[in-house]
Amino acid sequence: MRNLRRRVQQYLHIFQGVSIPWVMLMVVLLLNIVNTYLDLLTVTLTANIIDGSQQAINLQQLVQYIVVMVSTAAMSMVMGYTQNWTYEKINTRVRVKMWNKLMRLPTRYYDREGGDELVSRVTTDCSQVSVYFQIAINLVTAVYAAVVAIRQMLDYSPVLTKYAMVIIFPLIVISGVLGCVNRIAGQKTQATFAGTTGFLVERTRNLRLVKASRTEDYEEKRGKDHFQKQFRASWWAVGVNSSSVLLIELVNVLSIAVTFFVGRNLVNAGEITVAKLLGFYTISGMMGVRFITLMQSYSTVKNANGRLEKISEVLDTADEPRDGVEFDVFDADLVGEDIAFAYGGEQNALDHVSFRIPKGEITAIVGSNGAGKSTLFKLFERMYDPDSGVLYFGEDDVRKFNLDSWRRSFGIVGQDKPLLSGTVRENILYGVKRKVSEEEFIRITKLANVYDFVMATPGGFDAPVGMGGGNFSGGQRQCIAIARAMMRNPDYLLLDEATASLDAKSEQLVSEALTNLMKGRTTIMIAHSYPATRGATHVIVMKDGKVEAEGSPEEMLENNEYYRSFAAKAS
Amino acid sequence: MLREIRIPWPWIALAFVVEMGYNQVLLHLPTTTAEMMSGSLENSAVIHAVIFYLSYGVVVTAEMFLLGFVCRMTIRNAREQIWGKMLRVRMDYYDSHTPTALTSAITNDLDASIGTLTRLGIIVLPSLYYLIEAIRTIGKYDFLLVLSVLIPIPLRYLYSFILGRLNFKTQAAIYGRIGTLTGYLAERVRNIPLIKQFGTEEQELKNGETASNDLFQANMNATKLQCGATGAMTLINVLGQITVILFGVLLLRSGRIDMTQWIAFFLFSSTITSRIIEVLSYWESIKTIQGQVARVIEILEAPQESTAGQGAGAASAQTGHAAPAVEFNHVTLHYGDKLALQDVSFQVPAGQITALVGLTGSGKTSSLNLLERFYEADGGAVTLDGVDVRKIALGDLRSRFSYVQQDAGVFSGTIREALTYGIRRTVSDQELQEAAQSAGAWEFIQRMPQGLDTVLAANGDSLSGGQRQRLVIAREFLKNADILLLDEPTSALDAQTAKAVSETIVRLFRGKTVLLVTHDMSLLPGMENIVVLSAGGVVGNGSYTNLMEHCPLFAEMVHSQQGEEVRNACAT
Repeated sequence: MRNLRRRVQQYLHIFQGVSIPWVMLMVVLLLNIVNTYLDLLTVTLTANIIDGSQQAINLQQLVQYIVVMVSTAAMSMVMGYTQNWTYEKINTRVRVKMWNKLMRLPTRYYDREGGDELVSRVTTDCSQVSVYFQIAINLVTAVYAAVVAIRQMLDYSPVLTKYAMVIIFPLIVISGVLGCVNRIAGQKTQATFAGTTGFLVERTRNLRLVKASRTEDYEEKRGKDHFQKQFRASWWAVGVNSSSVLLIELVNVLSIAVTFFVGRNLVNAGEITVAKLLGFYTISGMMGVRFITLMQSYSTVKNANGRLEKISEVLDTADEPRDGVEFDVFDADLVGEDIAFAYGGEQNALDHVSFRIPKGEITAIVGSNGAGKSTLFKLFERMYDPDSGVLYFGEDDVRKFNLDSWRRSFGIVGQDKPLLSGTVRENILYGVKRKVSEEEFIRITKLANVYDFVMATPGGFDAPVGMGGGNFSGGQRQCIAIARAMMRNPDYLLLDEATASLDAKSEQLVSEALTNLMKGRTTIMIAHSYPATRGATHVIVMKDGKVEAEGSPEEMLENNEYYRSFAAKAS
Repeated sequence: MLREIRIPWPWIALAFVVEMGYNQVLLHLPTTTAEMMSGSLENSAVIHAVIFYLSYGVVVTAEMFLLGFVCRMTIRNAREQIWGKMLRVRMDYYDSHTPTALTSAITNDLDASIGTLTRLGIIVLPSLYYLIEAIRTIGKYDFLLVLSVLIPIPLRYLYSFILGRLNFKTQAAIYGRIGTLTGYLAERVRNIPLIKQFGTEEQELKNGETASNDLFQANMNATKLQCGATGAMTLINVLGQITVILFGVLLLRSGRIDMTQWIAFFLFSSTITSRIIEVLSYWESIKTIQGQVARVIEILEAPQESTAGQGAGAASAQTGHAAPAVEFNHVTLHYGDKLALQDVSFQVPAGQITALVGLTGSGKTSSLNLLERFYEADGGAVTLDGVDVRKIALGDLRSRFSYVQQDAGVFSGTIREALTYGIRRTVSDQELQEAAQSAGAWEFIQRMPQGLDTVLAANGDSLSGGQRQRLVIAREFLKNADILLLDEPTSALDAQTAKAVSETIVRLFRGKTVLLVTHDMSLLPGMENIVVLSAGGVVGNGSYTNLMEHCPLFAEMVHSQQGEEVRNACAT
């Protein structure tokens, strides 16, 4: 019960602030009810016609029959459309609410949930929110259908109705049980399917290894084992399906036997016509089917529950703080004091580090993989706050400043700052709120070595960059990213392996552009090769999340072994 | 294709028999019900009906079960067959297909095509049998009844055919739009850190809302289409039903049929109509899976690697230090139209390390491809201990080499399995430990909770690049093949790890014949045998000092890696 209340609360929270089209929902309910009524009417009319056909043809009856049939068809069309419209409207409104929320969540949240997960929250999960409304309407309609059907059945014969009730009840219970069993079977099938697919995908991607290792026979056998397991798991699903059919047929038999044994007596006694008996049989069948379908919605509900949980979790997460003063102070050093930070519960990515980034200079941060360099950058961007310790800007704790204005003062060029699909111009002007004149635009694109290759591309600056910037090469993307950073005119520049994995020609282009970008700005760079640290006046050496040493390049060459070997590798 | 797959004929025959039985029972359903209901409600009639329905229930269940079972069995067999073929496929076929396409062929395409074909194969004839018999039965009542059922059918088919054509294009457009919008939202979601960094939340908010509303519109368009189509079909169905009723009533009134027949006809008409629609849909199903069937057949018929050839040939270099283990003799290789190697000749001396260097696309990896006989040369020959590699049996040839790739040398499974992958003899844990220690892998294996039995994620992802390579080194050390082929073994590692790993390789495999393909020039100083490739041809061959002096391209590559200014290479 407590679970139910929690769920209801969750559900209500999801819809808080979402404008629900109540009127349309009522219309849908009404249409459903009318549709049900027409379905039942069809049965009774058919029965009447069959009855009446033994005497004179009742033209009026026939016309009535035709009209009702055609109306039913038209009605189901209208109902289908209206239903879809209403449910999709609800889904879309919740989707927009989710979207709003996503824009405001803190970065820690995105680390926990992978990109693909979040995408499916917004797209697939949101398309399920209207499920409860659907079920509610189906429930009300089913109740109505039951009431009307029973009334009709009672009208035909009270005795038979009693028997019908006795049979329908176990039918409902059985289908409920079967629904559960079906879900378990489904889970088993899913599991083996995922296992087999994983195996196939991994081997297929790396056939070279298999061939070079001469393990074709071995992998063939392993494949066979997987396929056999999959086959066995499928017995469950097939078995359950067939069993449910069998059980339903058995109940069917029972109901026929009862209906006609008892019904036969009633017909002979003249209490009911044969046609009406047939009609009774049809109506009770329809009712049974309706209830079975309702039972099956149980698994739909379970499925939707899962999704709703996820959506609710996102909506319940606290936003990123948006308060603070404008970051409008004089340049100062960035100072870290005893900062510790861990990404969600693992060991510390930063282990009580202290450092100084002098203003107006170029600082290089070096260290092996996992030393904590990129983490430091995330803290500079204030994607995270330190778990303990403080990051100071001059005398002030950086948390004092408004996030928006803080981030505007930082420009990043790194390996993982992609372009978004749109035109080149849109990407370069991304996030730029001031008006940019054409001269300034061209000047900056020339400084970033972007002008030439973009003008050589059909469409020029209005050419699309493709998903993730895929229409341009790695080097060209970097140059566009540099132009983007220049356009923002940040005071601080963070460079993260900006020229790694580029070929010689691109590297040259990008290095030039970077040099232009770095003029007059405080630069912090993560360097993986000694030549990249050229021009740095301050060096920070990191290892295993700690600052090993800090000072001028000359001091580091003298006193720090890692830096020495780092420099030596290049020659 | 029939011949390739191990089709479970006995089971299929059984399913066919049950299917016929099912249809036979189905044929008697309306008449039995009708007899019972049309007034002859005598005990015997009702009992007869009950027994009949009972057997109907049993037969339906058996039919459902068998059909599903047989289809799954056939799918399993087909999959085994395809998988075996896929593993032995020729490399040129493999390289010209994406792994996704290949996997999808074994999974989705196969399920859909084999499943549908098996199912249809079993039920088509019995379905037709049912139709013919059912129509005959009501024809016995009165011919006009037959007409009333049959006439709407061609109209119905024509109608759905035309509708289908109209729908298809519009539907494709609509679903395309839905895909694009979803993709747009997805891209934004994946780039939220970027959005934060640039402070463009407001802008993206509006964009997202617009996209969501567009998505709604597109969905509604799809719905309109669907409802229209469904509504039209329902209308046709209704008209058909009305026709049936009218006909029946008229004939009953005119005394040409009696009540029993009327009810039977009524029950028949709906099953006949739905069965006809079903049979027509079989054709549609086959057309739908056409593409998938084609893909499955393509893989089943894909060219396999030829395993022909004589035995292992000469054992590892016993012929003295001077004779080369591997020799490339005027080798030319094309991938389709693209030239990969042009008249390449060089030697790989036994017991020493030879480096193969060059820019991307110069043909370095192609050389390894030829040695392992993933591809075969178009001209010239590659020889191993004097024997053309094409003449050596494939299995024996590959067993002579240890092949270390840039990455992805480890499959999911336990560490133990990774260390013994492809090794035919039993390896004791003691041996494993020693090898791992030599390769510098033991310390991290020891730190893992289950040690050698630790399970690795797919592609060995639970380990770092350096750790993976050390596992591979340990394994190849255990394998103790004659010749070690290294394909850029440290390119995927950071500078520090790269240096450590290459030191391990040099130490562990000293004295072995090694062919090292690399673009990391820092590994080369001091080497005696370096072959420089450029655009598919050999432009330099000699020691490090020798090449630095006499080969401009080589010197340029060394210097540019050191970060100095780039000098133009003279054409050689």
